[in-house]
Amino acid sequence: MSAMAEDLAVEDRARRRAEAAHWRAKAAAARARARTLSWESDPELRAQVKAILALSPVERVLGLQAESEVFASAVLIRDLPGDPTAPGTGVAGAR
Amino acid sequence: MTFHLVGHFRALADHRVRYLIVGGVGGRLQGVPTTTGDLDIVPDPDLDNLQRLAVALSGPNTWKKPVDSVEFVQHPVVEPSEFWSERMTQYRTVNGGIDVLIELPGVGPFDALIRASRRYELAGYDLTIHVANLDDIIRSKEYADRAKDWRALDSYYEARAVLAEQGDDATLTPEDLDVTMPPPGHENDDDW
Repeated sequence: MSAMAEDLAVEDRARRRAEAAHWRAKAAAARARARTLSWESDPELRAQVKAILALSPVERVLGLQAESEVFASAVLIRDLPGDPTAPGTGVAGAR
Repeated sequence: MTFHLVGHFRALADHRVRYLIVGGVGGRLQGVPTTTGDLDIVPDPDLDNLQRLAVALSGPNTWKKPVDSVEFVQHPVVEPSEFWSERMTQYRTVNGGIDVLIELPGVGPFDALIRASRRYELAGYDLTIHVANLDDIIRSKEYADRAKDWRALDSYYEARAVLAEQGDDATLTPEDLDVTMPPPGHENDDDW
């Protein structure tokens, strides 16, 4: 290996070590931050979790797929042209 | 936008890609009541496997989000080197969004995740999927330190607590996969 290639290899190893140290420090900071969180169980969330876990894996997958389709087909109401009951129009029944 | 999860799983299985599901889909499969519109996976970084993954993702309707861009651009031919060079690569295929992570941030690559992963059978589809353990997904979200992740973490902690209490009946255990083994010394018998 030429001297130049050797220098580059040394530099590359040093760079990788520095990167690894950076990511390790970041992971440690995230763990420390998470430990300071106070978390309390929420009965409503708990009921939703249990409802999902009561489903078969296929139902879980298809449920998520269906939700995504609903969100994808959603349209912002204020984007509908010429809607007389759009928010802010003051018309009774405005959404 | 389309999000055909089963289609993603089928395409990956058809190309014999080894991968683990992480992110929102991984959370949802383990009870987390949040929703998502793309599939995040961590592939086995074996070169042949990445080659198969690249082929599975390639197609005339494949789009990719280049690094530092907000727009997807058409990308019919996916190269395995992309997974390494970009670490996290975002694609859209006919089945919808799919993000490929060469490692789960703050946790590690495929090998670090596989041991604790959960395995689910998709009855009727002849598909088996492997999902990173919820603890690992939580660690990655804590590590990512994004506002949207912190907002969702309560749901993840709730699911983790419920799983710790009652487990997940849908997970395949080693017993589910058990096969009758021949008695010692009869391993080569034709009857077995």
